[in-house]
Amino acid sequence: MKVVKILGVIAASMIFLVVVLQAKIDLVFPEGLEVIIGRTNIPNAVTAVYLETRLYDTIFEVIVFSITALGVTTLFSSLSRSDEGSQQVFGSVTVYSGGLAALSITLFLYLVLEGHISPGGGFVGGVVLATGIVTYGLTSNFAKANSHYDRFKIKMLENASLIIIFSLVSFIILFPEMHARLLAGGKFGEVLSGGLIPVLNILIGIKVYAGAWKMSSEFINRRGTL
Amino acid sequence: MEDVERIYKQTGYTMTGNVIFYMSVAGMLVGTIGMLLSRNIIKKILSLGIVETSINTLYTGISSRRSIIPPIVNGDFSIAYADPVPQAVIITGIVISFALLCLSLVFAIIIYNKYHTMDIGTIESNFEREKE
Repeated sequence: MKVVKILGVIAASMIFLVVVLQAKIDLVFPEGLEVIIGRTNIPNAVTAVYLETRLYDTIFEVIVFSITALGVTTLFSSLSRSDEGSQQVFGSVTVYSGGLAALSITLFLYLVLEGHISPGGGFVGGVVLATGIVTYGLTSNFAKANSHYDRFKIKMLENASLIIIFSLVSFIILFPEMHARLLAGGKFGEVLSGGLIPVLNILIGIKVYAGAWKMSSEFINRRGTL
Repeated sequence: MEDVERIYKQTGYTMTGNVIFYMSVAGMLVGTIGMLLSRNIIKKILSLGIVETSINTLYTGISSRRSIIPPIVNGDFSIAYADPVPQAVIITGIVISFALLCLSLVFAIIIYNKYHTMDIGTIESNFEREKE
């Protein structure tokens, strides 16, 4: 029985390999890059693709991420919380993890504000900030790291940024000529160029950070720190 | 199609792109076999993570098949840049795969709290007994 199973897996993987290797996956297009950059007037072609020419993909990705964060929070609400206050850390680790959290906040601001002229963007920035704060909470003081969620009203900020993302994307989709005029007005390669793209980057960064932090902190709340 | 053939003949594929492409296909196979053969739910979820990471790498390999220079254009279009479209598609996929792993781990925790095991055989027999 086990031999048959292993043979079946090998046969399935051979079929899979043949299908994948026979496919003509070839997407190179040197002329398309010039069209995209000429249309959006920003240097980073990746940001230009996912915030201008393929905006539908991005908006549905944001919706999927919000629904997943909601699902994790709702499913966890039926489980009991673990007891807090048993976290043991060394003193020097606290100092270093605080410095790392400060570094990750700076990196978040850099990636989000300059996402359209250098490598970076909203998704990357949000994940960087959430990872930094979660690392700080795990290694230093989780209660202190968790308190910023209420103090800075992150929940309200997340919902507000989601609504503003929806309205800005609807504006870009409904009035593409007006956004094209905004894009053409900026100077190529400056921070204050790119029309609504930097604003969308900032809002997506906040949204991704809030969702990722909420999901990770729910895990730590229920299962305890390591 | 003639355009693609012409570009292929003129530039050829980079070695980095090809190596990443075939390695990621191998990673997808490893993850799929792990998902099919392992009996533990956590191992299944980890294998799903391997498949997701391999697919992200596959897209990066496809985008770097022509060139490995990142597509940050400084006004000079004569340089061969990497293809931005697969990178832009996968930048959203990374966040989705993180969210998907979180959600499946939550389900694993709920299943563990109910049946006190991670073995799918035991869970299925317990479930059958409950139904009767």
